[in-house]
Amino acid sequence: MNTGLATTFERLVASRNNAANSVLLAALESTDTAVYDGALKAVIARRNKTGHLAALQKWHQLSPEQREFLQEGRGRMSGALRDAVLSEDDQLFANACELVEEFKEFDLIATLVTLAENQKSQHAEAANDLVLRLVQQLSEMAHGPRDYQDRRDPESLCRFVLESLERSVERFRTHKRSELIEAFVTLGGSRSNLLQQILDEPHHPCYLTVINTLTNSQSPGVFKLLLQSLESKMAPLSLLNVISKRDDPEFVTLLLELAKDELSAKTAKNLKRIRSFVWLKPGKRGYDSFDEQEQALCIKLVAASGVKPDEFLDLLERLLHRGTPHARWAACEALASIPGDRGNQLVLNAIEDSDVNVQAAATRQIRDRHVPGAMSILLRQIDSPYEVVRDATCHALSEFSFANYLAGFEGLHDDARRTTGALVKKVDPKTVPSVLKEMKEKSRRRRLRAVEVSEVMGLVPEVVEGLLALLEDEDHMIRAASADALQFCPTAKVQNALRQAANDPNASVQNAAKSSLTIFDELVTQGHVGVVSSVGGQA
Amino acid sequence: MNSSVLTGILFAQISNWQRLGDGLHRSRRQMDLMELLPLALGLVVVAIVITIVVKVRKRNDMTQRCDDPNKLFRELSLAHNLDRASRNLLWRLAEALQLAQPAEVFLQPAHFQGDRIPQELRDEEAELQELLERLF
Repeated sequence: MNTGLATTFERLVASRNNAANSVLLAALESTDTAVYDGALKAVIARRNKTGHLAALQKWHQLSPEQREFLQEGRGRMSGALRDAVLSEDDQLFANACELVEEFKEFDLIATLVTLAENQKSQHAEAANDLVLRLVQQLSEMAHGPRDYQDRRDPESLCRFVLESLERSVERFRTHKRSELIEAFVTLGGSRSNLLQQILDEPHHPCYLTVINTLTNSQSPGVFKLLLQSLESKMAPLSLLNVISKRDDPEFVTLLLELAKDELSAKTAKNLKRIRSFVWLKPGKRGYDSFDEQEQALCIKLVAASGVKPDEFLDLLERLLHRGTPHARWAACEALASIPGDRGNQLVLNAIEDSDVNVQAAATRQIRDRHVPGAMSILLRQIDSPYEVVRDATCHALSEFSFANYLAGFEGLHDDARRTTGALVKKVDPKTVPSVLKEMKEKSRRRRLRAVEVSEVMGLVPEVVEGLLALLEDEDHMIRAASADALQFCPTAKVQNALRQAANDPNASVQNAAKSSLTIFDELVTQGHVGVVSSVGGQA
Repeated sequence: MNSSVLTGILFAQISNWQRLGDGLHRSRRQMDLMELLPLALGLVVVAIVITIVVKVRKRNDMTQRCDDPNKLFRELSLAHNLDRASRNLLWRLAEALQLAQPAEVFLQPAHFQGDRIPQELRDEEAELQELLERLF
């Protein structure tokens, strides 16, 4: 805009002379774009309701750029918007509604509620819809991240709007506007005592509408109300019923997220009161539609709920059969808390699962469940090519520790010593260090037993350093036992040590050493080329 | 020292107690109303002057709330620093266009040139053109 016209409009905006309003309104009829735009801006800038109403009247004809001018008048135009909303003029009403929604003029909700309740008004229906949309926006604003550019406090706005909606709820018998009840529920949440009161009174005139809204609304406020109820000391049964009946993905996702962390005592207690979930049935909106993580979470949630064990097992069986690997693993883990033949069968099936983690989860619990044939399965699993399965087997066979084996060693006959020893060697990773430690014990009996254990368990090559050290032992019985055991480790270093032991002052040691060396020579004769050459070559 | 300074301007000297109660005594002199006439005339003149000053100030005080179309015309003229001739010309244009408010002429560029100039102002087309460039 050029300087002259800009000066005129600046003056007209700032003027305290009310005649300026009439001049600007006349200019709104101008065909000159510069004059029209300037007049529109000036009309919005001035605090004059008539001017604002005139601008509102033209809203539907304005270009997007011109509509921006009205955005700048946000806050100044509340009075005109209120008048326009209450106007009989259809176009003015429609324009005002559009602008109220765009400006998020929550202060006008009370006016719109009154209008919506007026059954004689031709604009009641539109006002009703607008209230619902505005409340939705307010709910999102209150429950979403705060926009600090908007200086209005969402909490104060909610309180103000809720007051008018609560008064409308009290008049429900007269107006019968279920949308207003929906708006009330959307915004009310846990902050409304009236809502709690309605939920406790199934005969309340609004009860069904409230329950219907809670079941179908997609509002964050409603979601929050339902989820917060689970964290209350004693959630109303009506809300728990709603939770069990909702299968819309938006809500179910939030519900499942509860199971991400450890469930609080209150939540667990409330969940125990829920006997079923509608999404437990397979189908389009059932657990089949859940992603991998959601399937796993749903198992955790159902496990914490009051769903019957048979139904829970149905879920686990279906997930073990058709679920994603993570869900199958979670299902298998959940089986640990469900004893019985059906659970046992599912665990046995899970051992054959294509996913190693599922196999591991099943293996880990198979012994505790006392499944028939568990030991043979575990003996097979201990040689699994997958480390995670082997670890799980070791966990299942944890009583086959070296400490237990050593404690019972004296009482076992030779075969049992050999077979159990082989298993202990696989199950307990601390076997070799433990044997080496035993070889250093002060007690002669324990050192002697350690030599014997290493021989029975086939550990000689692993503990050869300990045995070589025992060739120097003060006790000739131990030296002899060590020389005897070393026959199972035909290396050059051992051969050298045995040659030295053959000169031991004690005859039994000499004999044992010579006997072992003879066995080495036999190995050479029998053509164990690898051993012979290595022994001979290194010697 | 003070008395010597005041001596030159002192017209009369009287004891403060000597005239006390003169106006209350039975023998006081009757007042002639004609003596008050100059005083009354003086007061009237002062009142008229004050009224005129107030009116003039109010007329030119643009900060006061009002609803005065003519004042708005003056306000806009002042904002554009228009001289008396230009103001008169604009005023006559507003009258010729029979605008509801004279200030509307500041937002009607179409009437400053060509055929849209009212008949009676055709002779001043050049001045109007100049105003057009200045105001728009």
